[in-house]
Amino acid sequence: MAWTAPMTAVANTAFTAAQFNTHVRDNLLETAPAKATTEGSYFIGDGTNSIVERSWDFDFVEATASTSSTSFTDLGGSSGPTVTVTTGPRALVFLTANLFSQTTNGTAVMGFEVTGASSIAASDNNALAFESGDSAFITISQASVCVPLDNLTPGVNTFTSKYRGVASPPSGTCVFRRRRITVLPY
Amino acid sequence: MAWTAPMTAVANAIFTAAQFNTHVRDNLLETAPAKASTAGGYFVSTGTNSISERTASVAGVAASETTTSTSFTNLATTGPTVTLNTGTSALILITSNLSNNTNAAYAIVGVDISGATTLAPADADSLSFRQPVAPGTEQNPQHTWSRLFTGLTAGSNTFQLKYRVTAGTGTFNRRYLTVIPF
Repeated sequence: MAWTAPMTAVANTAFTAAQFNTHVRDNLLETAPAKATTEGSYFIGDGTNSIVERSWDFDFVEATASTSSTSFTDLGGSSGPTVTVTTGPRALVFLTANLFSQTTNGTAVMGFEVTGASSIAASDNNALAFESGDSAFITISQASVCVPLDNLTPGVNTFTSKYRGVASPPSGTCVFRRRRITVLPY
Repeated sequence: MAWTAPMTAVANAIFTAAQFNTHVRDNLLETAPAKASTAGGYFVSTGTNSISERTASVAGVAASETTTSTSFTNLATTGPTVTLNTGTSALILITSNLSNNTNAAYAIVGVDISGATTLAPADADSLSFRQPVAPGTEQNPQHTWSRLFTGLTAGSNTFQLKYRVTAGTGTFNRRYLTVIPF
């Protein structure tokens, strides 16, 4: 069923069953309470006169893992975290981690790629990054970044965390733990 | 009132007042416009065929204050603190400018949850920064940590920032707490 612009009643004109079904029943079935199924979900415009229920999702990996790769990669023995959700063209992606480089002035980077309906490679533009200080006095940050996306292909999309160290200055071994990805689809 | 699956009208059948009240009046009262009360509010599902209006909230404390406590505590100015109605989940964002005057020591900002839910602050769910270099040359980043908390008890919940260090003296300013309930 789709939304129909509500009719205008006319005095002394019969209100038919068909009119009730179109303008009352079917329109009510397009409202949020009719579409609500999952506690904690929310409602998004899906186009003219159309709304859809969306649900957030997140994934968390506590384990400490590291990489010396200067291109985005999975962490050895501990891939992800990964989230699969149904989205429209937009989403907010939150990346959270405890991260550092063991090398003076090295930078640890946590990004993500999108697969499924969309194909978006991991990028420093959409990443959490932290430059550590002197290797004798290692700086560690536990923080987040929020990445707004507006170029998704609507449908089922999978968001997978990826990791790297910046090549220049050399980052050596970059360490990550308490890694979390949260996706709010729109 | 609760939502009732809208009836299907039948040609030549009488449409009664009771049917109107159940299928038109009471159902309309379950929709977003009927429940909207606050500018900036938004609507979430509270279960099958049920929605509720939620409102996000933010609180801040600009003052620069310190602690040497190694267990989570209040600073001279308590908070910031946010109290609002949530379902079983909420997105929490902790923002602060933070530093520590001792090499290799952490400054940590966690969140305490009370009210319908009881959850103590924890290092794993905190904004934190481990200080490098020698005292006197402290770095003081200003950044944010976030997490979608699930498993909350639905109802009125109070979120309050708490602070600790692993050693030395931690300094915290421009402290903000944002809560987006679902």
